[in-house]
Amino acid sequence: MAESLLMIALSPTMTEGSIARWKLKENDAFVSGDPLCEVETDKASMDYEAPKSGVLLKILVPEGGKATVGQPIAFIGKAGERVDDPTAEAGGKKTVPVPEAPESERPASKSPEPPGTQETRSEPAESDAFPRESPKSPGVDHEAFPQVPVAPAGYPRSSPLARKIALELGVDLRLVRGRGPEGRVTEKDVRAAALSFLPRVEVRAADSGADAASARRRPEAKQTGRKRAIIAKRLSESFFSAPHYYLRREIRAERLLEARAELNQGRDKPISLNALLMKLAASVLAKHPEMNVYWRGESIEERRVVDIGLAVSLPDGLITPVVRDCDKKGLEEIDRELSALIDKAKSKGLNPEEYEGAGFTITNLGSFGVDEFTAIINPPGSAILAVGAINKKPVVGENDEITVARTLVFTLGCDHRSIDGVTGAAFLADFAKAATNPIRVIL
Amino acid sequence: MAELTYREALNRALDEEMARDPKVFLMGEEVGEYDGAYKVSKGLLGKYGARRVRDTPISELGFTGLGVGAALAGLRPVVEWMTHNFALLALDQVVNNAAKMRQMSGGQLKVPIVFRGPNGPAEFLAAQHSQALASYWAHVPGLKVVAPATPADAYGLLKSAIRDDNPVVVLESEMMYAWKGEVPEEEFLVPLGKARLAREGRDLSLVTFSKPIKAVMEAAELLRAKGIEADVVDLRSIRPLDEESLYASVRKTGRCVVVDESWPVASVGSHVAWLVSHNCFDLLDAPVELVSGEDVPMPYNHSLELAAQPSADKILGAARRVLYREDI
Repeated sequence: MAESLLMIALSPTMTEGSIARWKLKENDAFVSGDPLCEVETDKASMDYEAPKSGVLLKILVPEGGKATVGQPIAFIGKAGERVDDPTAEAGGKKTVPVPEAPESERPASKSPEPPGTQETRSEPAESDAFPRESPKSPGVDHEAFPQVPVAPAGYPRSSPLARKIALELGVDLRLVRGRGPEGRVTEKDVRAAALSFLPRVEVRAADSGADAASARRRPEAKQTGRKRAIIAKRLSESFFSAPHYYLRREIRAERLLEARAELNQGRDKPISLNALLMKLAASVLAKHPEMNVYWRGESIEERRVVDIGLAVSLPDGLITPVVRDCDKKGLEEIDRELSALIDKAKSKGLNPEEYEGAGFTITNLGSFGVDEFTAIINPPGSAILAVGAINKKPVVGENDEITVARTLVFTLGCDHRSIDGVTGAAFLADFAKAATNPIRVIL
Repeated sequence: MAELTYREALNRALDEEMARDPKVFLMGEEVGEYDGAYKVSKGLLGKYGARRVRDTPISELGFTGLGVGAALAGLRPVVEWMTHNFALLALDQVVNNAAKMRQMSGGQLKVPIVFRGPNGPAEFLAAQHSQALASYWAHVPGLKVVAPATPADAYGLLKSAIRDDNPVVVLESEMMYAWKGEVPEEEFLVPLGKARLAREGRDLSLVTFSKPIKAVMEAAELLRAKGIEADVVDLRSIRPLDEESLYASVRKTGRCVVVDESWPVASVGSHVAWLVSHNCFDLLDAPVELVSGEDVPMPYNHSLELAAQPSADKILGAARRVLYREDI
């Protein structure tokens, strides 16, 4: 049977996308994973990959056209398959992926809503919002065999288990990419989305009927956009659910600075201190897998990869580009990737896979003259390293002599649910050692 | 522990129950002089005599009714049907008399009778003699229905069936009579209404009863080779049905494939699939799959005959769908 291909959320915040370009013509065949079209989202333009193999039977949304998440953009199926009057369904929001049973055959009583969808629903259900499975054989008595209702319009198909887990984990199903048949969201898809910590976005109705007299005293509501809302939600979730504690350690920074200066000799583009710290953190993290974890609600999940994020400030809020497999990469490679990601974040915006899922995060306010500070953990990591400014300070040496030294304070924030104090302290000790003797690590 | 065939296990159960209770007797076509069409009653005529091992005419409705009458009068008959295909002739006695008398007499009458014989397709027997009719009996309130899939269960369930005060239909299989398995030497009973966990796994539930257990276990082994562990529930008892064990398995796996060699429409398999869909709705990550016999009269051509029945390959196909895995 021909299936409709629905617009999906290609980024956590996407609600609508426009088709920048179709990469296939009608009747072209494709295999699972092939890019079908390029979709312009709120943040970036991305490829829409085929969820399964088949043939592009009919394009419903042409290049330049817009579609909300959940709206059909094309029909796919087997070669030569007939599409039943697709234009009738291409219209608006009430499109349904499958033809409905004729009116007379529809069960009289309304079927209950699928669980897990009520809370996040924004519109009251209309009977049209419940597409029904197409009747398999015309002889079936639909009064006796009512068809199973699927999710309301705008929502992807999803398994009951996926809905239940989505409700438990607070994942908005509209933001999950379903990889099951006909885009069905399954347990695996929800868990993957929850891991990348997609927040549930709630839209509040705007205030109305302002009273002129008190208007002046009322704070002005600033247009912040979705990104700010996501940052707010995410950090609140982290701060109020993860019991944070902080470990502070001061190091002498001379050798770190010397190493960096030496590395950058004769280089057009110097290697950043942040890339250097990332490299150091990666090598220490690789020896402390107990730091590279995530608290899953009932158990600890230990990562097998060392992915490190760096907090980067942008006009509309901060983002954490992630360098993957830092422990396996050389310093130059890390620096190159990091600066490319930062450039992209500032120009076009990052794709989710470029900023999600850091196991450890570094944040640096040294350039603002902040001596030291505490940071909020960036989930799904369990630890964050806050880097302060490099200052000149009198320090007491081994033989009680006082010298002028350059010092730097690291403050490690940890989630006590997954990382105990001793574990954090052991990591910080090794990290301080590495930062004091960086050449050993860089080699 | 002795290794017995399914046939020997049934024989041992009959022998022990006849020795234990003089009210127990066996009747059916060829059960005496010929030792049974499938030799299940071998040696019993010599041991218990013609009063308790009765050869009957070829008249299923007649001798089944005779059995119901004997049960109402206080005996505990075991009626052997040469196959369940022939038992269709006896439907009226089973459905309208055996299953109803206890309720219609307000509990004054009881009908302690066992109907047993091979059910389901064997080989090369064509459409009229290759039918899996479990749902014919499972459909009827007032009957109990069991379908042992191992020699130990055949022994333990037949003994429980004979001791039960209600009519019990036992579904055996011509192909299973020669299956071998361990049966403890000391006497034991298998309670009616309890499923057996034939294999433990966390990834998907394979639910079946009777002969298809073989294809199911083969499929489970093939899945294991791919790193997938199947939980295999052998229902054993179809009425009453052990829903608790069924749901416990699905609770564990979130995925369910039901395998029943009967036709798919209104079958035990489709009923079990509905129960799981209904009662485990929130636990399911994929629609429940049903692997059934094909919806056709059994073809005589052997290739088609095999193609019309559940196979490890078909079960694997269903497993792929509930696991959303195309690569297995």
